[in-house]
This record gives sequence, C-alpha cells and structure tokens, in this order.
Amino acid sequence: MEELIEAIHLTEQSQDYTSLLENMNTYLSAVLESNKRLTDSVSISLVDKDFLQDIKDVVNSGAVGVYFGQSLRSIKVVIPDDFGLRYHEIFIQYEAPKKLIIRNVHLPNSSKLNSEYRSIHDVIETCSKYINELTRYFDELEHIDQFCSIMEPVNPSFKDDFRRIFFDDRTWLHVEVTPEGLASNVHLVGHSTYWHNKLQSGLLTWDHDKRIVENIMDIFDLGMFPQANSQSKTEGDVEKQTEEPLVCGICLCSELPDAPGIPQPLCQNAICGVHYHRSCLYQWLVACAGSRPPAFGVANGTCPTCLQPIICSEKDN
Amino acid sequence: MAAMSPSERRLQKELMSLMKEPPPGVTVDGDQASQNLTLWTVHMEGVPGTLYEGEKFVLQFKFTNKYPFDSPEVTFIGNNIPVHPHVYSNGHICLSILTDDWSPALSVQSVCLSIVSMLSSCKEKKRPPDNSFYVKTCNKNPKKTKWWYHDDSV
Repeated sequence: MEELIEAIHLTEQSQDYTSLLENMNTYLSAVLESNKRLTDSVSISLVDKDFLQDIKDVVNSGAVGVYFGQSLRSIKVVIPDDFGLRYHEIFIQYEAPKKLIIRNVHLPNSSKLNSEYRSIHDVIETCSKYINELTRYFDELEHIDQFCSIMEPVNPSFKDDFRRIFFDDRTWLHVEVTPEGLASNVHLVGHSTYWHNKLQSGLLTWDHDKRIVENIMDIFDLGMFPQANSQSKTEGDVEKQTEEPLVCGICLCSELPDAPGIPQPLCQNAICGVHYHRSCLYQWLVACAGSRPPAFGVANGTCPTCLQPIICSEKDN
Repeated sequence: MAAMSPSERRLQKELMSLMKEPPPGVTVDGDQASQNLTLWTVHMEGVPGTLYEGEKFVLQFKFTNKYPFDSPEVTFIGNNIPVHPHVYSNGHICLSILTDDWSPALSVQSVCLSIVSMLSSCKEKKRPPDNSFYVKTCNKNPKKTKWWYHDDSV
C-alpha cells in the first residue's frame, strides 16, 4: 500500500497520469485476485477498474482537464464551454462502482445536477449541456461584475445568481439574473428617494433586448457606475490599510457564520449611516415589540442608533 | 476552540477596542474580562475640574447571553461609591439607558461615557432623596427596579 501511495504522490507532482493509472491498475488487480476482503477494508481510497478506465479515457480525449483531490475518489474536471471562452470546474466524488455524484460546481441551481452518474463521461455531458444553456447568464453576470462595484456576494461567482450593486453609501441595487440571462426582482436596498423615484419611473421601460448593465444605466441616468471604497488612501493612514469591511451596528460583525448576508443600509434616515444585518435588526425590533412576531413579517420600531422610525422585513428579498 | 455565541463575539470585539482605545480616565480589567466575558470590572477616575476630581471608582458590568439585545447590569462596587443624586449607596445607578432606553447600538464604552458625564455634570454631592428606603427594599439586580427618573438635568 505504501508503495502505491508513494507512486501517487510522485505522479501527482509530475502530472503523469498514465503511469499513475498503470500503477493503480496493477496493484488493484493483484489485490482483487488475492484477497477480496482486504479491498473492502481499504476501500475508502480505492476505486474500481472501470472507473480507472473511465479516467484514462477522459484524460486521453484531451478535451477536459482532470485533477485529483485527496484520493482517487475525488476528482475535479475542468470543462470549457462551446466557444472555449470560459472554463468551469466540476468536483466529482466517487461513491461506489458506477455511482458518481457532483460534490460542488460553480453554477446556479446546482441542485438540478444532483443525481447519480454512471461515469465521468455522463457528468461531463450533462454539465456541458447545462453550461451551454447558460451562456447568456454568464455573459450578463460577467458584464455586471466588470462594470459595477459589487457589495454582495462578497466573492461573486457564477453560483450566485444575484448581485447587489453599489449606488451610494446608503443605497444598493439588487438584481437577480435568470438562467436565460434576464434580470428579475430588481429592487433597491436602502431608502433613497432619489434612486427610488428613478426606479419607479424607469422600471417599465426595461428593455430585455438590451443588456442588464445598459438597462440600469438608462433607468438611473448613469454615465458610469459609482465605485465603492473609492476614497483614496491618504498618506500616513497606513494602520487602516485594508478597507475595513462594513460591520453591523448590533453584533459588530461583518459576516455571520449562522446567518447569510452582510450588513445593509436599512435605516431610512439619510444621516444615520449605520448598517445592520437584517437578522440582527429584525430580532431587536421584534424584541422591542414584546417578542410578538409582526404581521406580514415586517417589524417596525426605531433605529437603535438614530432613534428614527425604521422598518425591517424578516426575509431578504 | 468552541464556536463563539453572538454575544461572546460582540463582547470580545468590544473588549479589544476598549483595551486599545479606552476613553480618558477609564480602564478595563482585560485579564479578568477575557477569562469570563460575562463579567467585567471597569476602573474609572473622577474627571479633573469636577466634584469627583481625584476619586477612583469601580464599575461592574454583568452581561447575559442575550446581550446586546438585553442591557448589561451595571453597578458601582468596592468601597468608594460616588455620592451623586442618581447613585444609591449600594452602587445601583438610576440611568435610563441601562434599562428602558437601552439600545443595541450602545456599548460598554458609551455606557462608561454616559456615567462619566453624569458624574461630571453634578453640582452638589448628595445621595438620592429615597436612598435609605430604596437600599433596604430593592432587588439585588438593579434592572429589576422600576426606575422613576427624578430629573433629566444630570
């Protein structure tokens, strides 16, 4: 066994899959023939012969990149789209002979891909088909990420089908992108009358033949998108180098391990400027109202910081 | 290390910033607080130029696991309890932000500053008018007291 592991390590470094596979093959056949029980006991990191052949075929086809994880059972394939513009990583887990699952993939609605696959080839075929259906989706998201300052998600990827675009310190624009590459659920986060009026009057003129970024620029009369953190670093301000992430006025944290989302400009008072996690503010407003859940999931009360009226819905939408 | 609860996370952050940039005349016992995040001891000095100049006081903060949704329990402890119209001789403080007007946007630092300013604006050192009655009858926890705020001037 040790010899084999060493062989795997060596080949991992040299990326010489063929010799690795040959080693695996020889070893496996020997073990299989001599003692079946032994294979059961060490099967955690072992795979069957068909799977090895499968890997071999995929590698030899040369169309996709294949990388190994901690064991032969976790594999990453990198597949290009039809135009060879983008590459998508798919993490495959070997569960049992002819039983593969997709462990992780940076695509929206990845639950769609949750099923058992008989071979790597099956996985690649299904994913390629899905990826090519999503071309417009990728185009639009890439376009948005390129032109706009994205507040949320913190590290945008194709897995996230929404973007929160920075307008000003108190206002973000929420846009969701459908798999067809169309905008949906466009709304403002924050309560600026200025941006709100523009959205109200402009939303009906949204033109789905134009790109999402162009539509937003038309509706809000933007020549270019405002950029977050644009204040240039003054000299001598070295201690505060990396821009500090926005923290919530209640829990003093930025990202929470147990609740999604980052602090948002929820207070309507233009001079307040404090951000809150929706979950923190909601919890406080409900506690102030005697812990009774509010009607329609919208709590109201006063801002903990500026004491002006504030509303907060339970769900982020 | 076990995952921190939201109240512990916030207390940890407050402790760090209070130790790093304490308000003038205020020091927190960092060792004790980091051992037990729910019980802090804060030392406070009377501000020069006020009736309490040169005096030293000790404040105790107790937090529940609902903090900051639940206000901290703040009392003066030790042998020098400031003589002030809003401070009872058992250390209880009549200050609205510690009960009814508490908000999660307040912090240990802002409570300390409020108490410093409450002391500093005092014009005559005296106990509250109902001191002896209150001290005899009150609950150990000042938050159980239904405070009746005597005046808003100090």
